[in-house]
Amino acid sequence: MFNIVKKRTYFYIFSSLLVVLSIVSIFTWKLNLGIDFRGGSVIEISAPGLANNSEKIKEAASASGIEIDSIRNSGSDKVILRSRNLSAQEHDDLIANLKNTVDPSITEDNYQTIGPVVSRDLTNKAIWSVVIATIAIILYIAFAFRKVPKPASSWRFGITAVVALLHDLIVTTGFVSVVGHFYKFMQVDSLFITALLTIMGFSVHDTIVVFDRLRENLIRHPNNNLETLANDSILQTISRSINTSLTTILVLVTLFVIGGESIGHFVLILIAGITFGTYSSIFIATMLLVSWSKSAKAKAVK
Amino acid sequence: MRRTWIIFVFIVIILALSIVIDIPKGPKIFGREIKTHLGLDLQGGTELIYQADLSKSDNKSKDLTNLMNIFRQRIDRLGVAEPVIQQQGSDQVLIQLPGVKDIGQAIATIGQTYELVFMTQATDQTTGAQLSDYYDQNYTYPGFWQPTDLTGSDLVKSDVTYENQNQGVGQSQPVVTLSFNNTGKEKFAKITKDNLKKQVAIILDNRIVSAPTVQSEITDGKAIITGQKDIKEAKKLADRLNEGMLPIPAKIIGQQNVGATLGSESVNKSLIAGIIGLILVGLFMIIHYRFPGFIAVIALGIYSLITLALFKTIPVTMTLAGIAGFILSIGMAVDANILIFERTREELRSGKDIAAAIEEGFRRAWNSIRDSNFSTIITCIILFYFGTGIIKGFALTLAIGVLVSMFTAITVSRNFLLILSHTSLRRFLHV
Repeated sequence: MFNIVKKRTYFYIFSSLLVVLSIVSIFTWKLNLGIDFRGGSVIEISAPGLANNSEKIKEAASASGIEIDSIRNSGSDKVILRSRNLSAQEHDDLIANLKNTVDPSITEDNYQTIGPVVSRDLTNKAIWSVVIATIAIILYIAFAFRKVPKPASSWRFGITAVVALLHDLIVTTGFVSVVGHFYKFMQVDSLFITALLTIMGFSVHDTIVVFDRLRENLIRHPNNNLETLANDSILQTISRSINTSLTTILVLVTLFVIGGESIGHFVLILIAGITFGTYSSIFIATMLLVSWSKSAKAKAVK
Repeated sequence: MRRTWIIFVFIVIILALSIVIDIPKGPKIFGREIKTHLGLDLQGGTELIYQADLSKSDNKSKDLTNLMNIFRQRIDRLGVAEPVIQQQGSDQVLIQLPGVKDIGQAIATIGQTYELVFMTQATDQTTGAQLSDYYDQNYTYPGFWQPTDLTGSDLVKSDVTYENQNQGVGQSQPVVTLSFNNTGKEKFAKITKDNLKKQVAIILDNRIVSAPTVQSEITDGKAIITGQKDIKEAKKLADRLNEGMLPIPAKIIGQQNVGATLGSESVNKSLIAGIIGLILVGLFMIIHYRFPGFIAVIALGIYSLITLALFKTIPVTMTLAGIAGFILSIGMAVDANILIFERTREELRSGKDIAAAIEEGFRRAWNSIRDSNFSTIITCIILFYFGTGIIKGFALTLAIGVLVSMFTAITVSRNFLLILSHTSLRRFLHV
């Protein structure tokens, strides 16, 4: 029989590497903050063959006193402009000016402007919801596993689950930063937060399934040591973990390939996050629990 | 076995109800039309975020509610179906106007200054203007009106009380009271003196709310408007007056305009993708778990029908994030079935007969399903509480989806498998 728990050092090294690389990428390549977080305006306009007119569009905007920060083509007929936060008047002037000087058939498909207050609120709320959800998860797991037999402690279950979860969130954010460095569509916006929260849910969901099995095994075989039982639990749940992730990823991949463009980045983040989440629930959460319990035991013996 | 059949009948009833609700032209329930509510990102429309300046307010929540009421009335005049007017944080108001394309006009209508003015009767159109009724725009008040210097800023409070007209005989009548500040008191005294037995009109948004006749000169800065039909009408008038009294400055800090074409394009694509994804999942389940996998697919179908029916009934406004939440909840519903089958498979290996293995498989899988789903629901509750618009939508659909998935896993899948385990089909049930 496999003993993957014995080989846990390799997984620790691999995960530490992932986490370090992610953090390095987040600090050097940064994240493509969307206007949800940064404040500013996004204007999507379209007209036949508009993509060839980006210089003219920039000039028209400058004439209205608006500096275009970035201009991106989507197909040959659609152009996406980004600028600072505009007032209603500035926006109307800009559109009128574009129609006058660039192409009278321009239509505005989508417009969004967000002031600094809203973006700051969103950032604060996002951070708070992650922090509070994390604490709630520790508390819930500690409560749900309260009947776990000694010497295992239900708090350790909660905390290791959250460590695995933080691992997933950091690595996923790192992934977003790497992809965002090369592809502009990978934006950090409200959907990014939604994706992270989903990954949280999934990661904990997966980890609990393994932990639940471990709890059951601990009760059934009180004389076996934790390492063996943890290994058994992982092997007993691995086919379920992989099958579940596979079905979810199947749906997500279809969404990514043929779903609307506006949720492409969201779906991709989910695919990455769920993959990391499945990996960490199998190879990190349970392993950490074993290491922690062993070191606690070693201390007790001293 | 009896119990199994009772549950089966129960499932069929719920399923039938769900299908009735899911039909595109849904029935009316309690006089309310049941239909799918699409969010702004799917339907197209305008979103505005206002920040109210409450620095001078002594009752912040009341003033903000007032502001929102004013917004609502203005929006009603735009004729928008299903607008959303929500408080965000302590001093922000989020407004969503589905289907409104002209953002400039919307801002103009919502943001126009609203002021309360008292007017007196003018002799003709050279000195006054004709005004329409506040409640009924088609009705034009007789006569011409000219503004006085008495405005909402002179008013302190408007309230509703009862006045006993016939000193103990007959019913007491609701009246609306007005209190002015000191400058208002003087202005009002002068107006009532000059306009004895004539009408004085109270104008809000350039329309006449009420035009009572002055009965006597009023010097104490308190006026009473009689002639209210009932307490409801009196209350409405008092609210109007309070509205005009304190115009809280509010400025736009965020706006968004989503084109409907973009919206419907994303919906269709995501919907098709979702359906194809589901078919793939179904195929996977059938290939991997064979006949029980097929039962699970049916259970998932029932799951989807119930969830969509709930979305329509509650109603949940569908946004892209909401659809994402729903699709993920399908993932979790599949997971519940996979957990159960894996457990049943183990029990079968240990030599139990099929019915016992199914029972035991469900029993053992239940702990995992319960704990993992509860942690998701807890996360959803926190997100719903702390999150903004799209996060809320996501949390709500995911939570509903997870709850329904627990229900279908332990009733539908289990029930169908148990019934089949007593028929000749049971030999196909080996997972």
